[in-house]
Amino acid sequence: MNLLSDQLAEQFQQHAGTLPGAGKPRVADFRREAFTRFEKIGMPTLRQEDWKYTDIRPLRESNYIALGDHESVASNKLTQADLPFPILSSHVAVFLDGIFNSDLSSLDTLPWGVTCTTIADFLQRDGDEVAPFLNQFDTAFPALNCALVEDGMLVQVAAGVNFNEPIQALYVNTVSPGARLNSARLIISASANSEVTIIESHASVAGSTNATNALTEINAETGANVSHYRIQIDNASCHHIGNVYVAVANDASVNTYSFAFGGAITRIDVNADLIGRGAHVTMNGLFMVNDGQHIDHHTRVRHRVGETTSSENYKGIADGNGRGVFNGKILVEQDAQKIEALQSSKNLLLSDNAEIDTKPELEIYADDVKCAHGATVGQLDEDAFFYLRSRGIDEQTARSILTFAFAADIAASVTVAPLREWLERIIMTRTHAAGINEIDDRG
Amino acid sequence: MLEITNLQVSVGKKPILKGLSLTVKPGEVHAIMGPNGSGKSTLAHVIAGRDGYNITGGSVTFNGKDLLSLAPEERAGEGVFLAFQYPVEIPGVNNVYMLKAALNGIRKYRGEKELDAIEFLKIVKAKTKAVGIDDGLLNRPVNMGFSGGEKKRNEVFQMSVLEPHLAILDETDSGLDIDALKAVGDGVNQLRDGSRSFVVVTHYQRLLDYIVPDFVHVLAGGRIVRSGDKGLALELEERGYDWLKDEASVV
Repeated sequence: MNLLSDQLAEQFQQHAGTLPGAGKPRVADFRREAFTRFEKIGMPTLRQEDWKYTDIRPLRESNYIALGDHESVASNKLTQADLPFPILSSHVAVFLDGIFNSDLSSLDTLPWGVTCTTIADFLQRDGDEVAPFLNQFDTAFPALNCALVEDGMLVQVAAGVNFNEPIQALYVNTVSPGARLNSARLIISASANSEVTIIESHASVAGSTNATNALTEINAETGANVSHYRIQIDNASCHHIGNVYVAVANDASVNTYSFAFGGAITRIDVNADLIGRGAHVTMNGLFMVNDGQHIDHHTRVRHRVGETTSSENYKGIADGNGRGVFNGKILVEQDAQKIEALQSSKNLLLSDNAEIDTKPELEIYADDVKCAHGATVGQLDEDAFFYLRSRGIDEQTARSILTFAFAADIAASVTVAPLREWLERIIMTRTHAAGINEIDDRG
Repeated sequence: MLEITNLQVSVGKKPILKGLSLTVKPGEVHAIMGPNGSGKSTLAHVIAGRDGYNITGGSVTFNGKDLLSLAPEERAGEGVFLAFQYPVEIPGVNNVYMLKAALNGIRKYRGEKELDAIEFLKIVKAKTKAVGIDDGLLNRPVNMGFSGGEKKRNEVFQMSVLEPHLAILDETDSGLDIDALKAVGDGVNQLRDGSRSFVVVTHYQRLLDYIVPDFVHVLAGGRIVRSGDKGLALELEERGYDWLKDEASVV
């Protein structure tokens, strides 16, 4: 039945002995435990409330190579010009089917206090250094990532270091001999009062049929500031599973964005725990789905202590027979008083066959809280549409302008200029609104 | 130029216009006055091509073309402009960008070369001065956070850039104080060049102090019940509409 699970068990048995850190008992035990958890939890099905809108049978019942066989990956010959996603920073780590590629990367000019280490190297290190990063998860895909992960990036920022240039991690699905299930991994560890910006980008080379199971952990210690931009743009036949876990300590602030342009099936979970007073998280996102695509975002904010704030703004646009899902959960734990939580989910349907399901979920166990949420699914504003057309703008252009405008505020709040410009271009391309920025660009 | 013949329009099953005829020649200014609910705004919207109206009879031609068979943007291309009673706020769409798309849409429709950003901004600069619009408003999202007066002035500004052959002003005076009214009136008067025509739809006479019409028509019960010169507007100001309403129900 669960074809992929069986294959993965076989592959894990076969390769566990040669995975990074296999010689370190703590790492090896960690992997075994993670895999046991994965098997126990099992692949999600529509019967689970959290997965009821997203049918991953095409992933669950297919053949994927998750481990080994990297030598035959043709993509090792890729040059920077062949990459399916732009390099947006001078500090970039490129991963081809999950494995770090030093030729395509440049991490030599990082300042003191900012270190990027590959996960493959990191797992070989001394147990005491590695142990704090060996976190287990209780959902299937993160557990699977922990068991299978071969590479990825760990970004560590020392206390008090403010680094303003973004660091980009680019994960590329390539054209490989057999379809691969790639484990992508990113860990961001920001020490007290440090500041860092990370661009996590996922894309696929034309013709790739690979799938991604990505896991991101962000830990912001006291007073730290982390900006995390996650972008996913895959081929029509690539599936993508992403999980982001954020922990925010007192007076720390994390902005985590998810821009998803989809592949075939895309499911992204963003989880934030506000664990110290004064902690803040901003969770923004934009997804665009078209024919044959499915994008599901599940977000969870947990206010675990009082005097914490969260602000969430997600937008979705569905065209063709595209299907989008947004599920936003806010949990306020007992005694977490004087918290403030805002959530907004606005969605736009551009065709009769498109569908977006949006659901806010509030669980509040404290009594002195400020929570506001709003969810809308609508079509383009008829009045605005007529206004533009009455001025001489044709139907298609008017539609594009309004669609772009709907999405523009999320993109406009991105502070990394080259990323913002890239996003605006992509949104334009996808809404066919050519030249919309020409006027603003005159400076 | 504009020839409306026996126009009949319903919304749902309710007849709003019941056989309206009107001829507007180049350079003329026609005021359409009438009580609330008489069909004034319906007339303005039907000429501009808004959805949601059933044309059950009659015709509207513009320079000989059947206007009713054209899309709103094609009507704009032919030179029709509607100044909205309630200009729409469009978050995320820059005012100047919208105008450039509009002007180029019209130029494309007419088979003219589209303007690049530099050529376009030259026009904008000149018109900004002429209309006296605060150029801070230009790079804001369309009508977002504009005061009532700023919105109406923005309509006049758009009109001055798009240079229509026929401008329909739908209750442009509503919600304006006397200074804003004067400014909007001045803006419109600057655009009177002897060949451009105007249809000024209004409930009150006061706008006509600034935009002096050649003809005044009273719309009541879906028909034009009386036509005259600007003196008719003054008479309405004095006597109200009731005496004409009675007349409308008789015919």
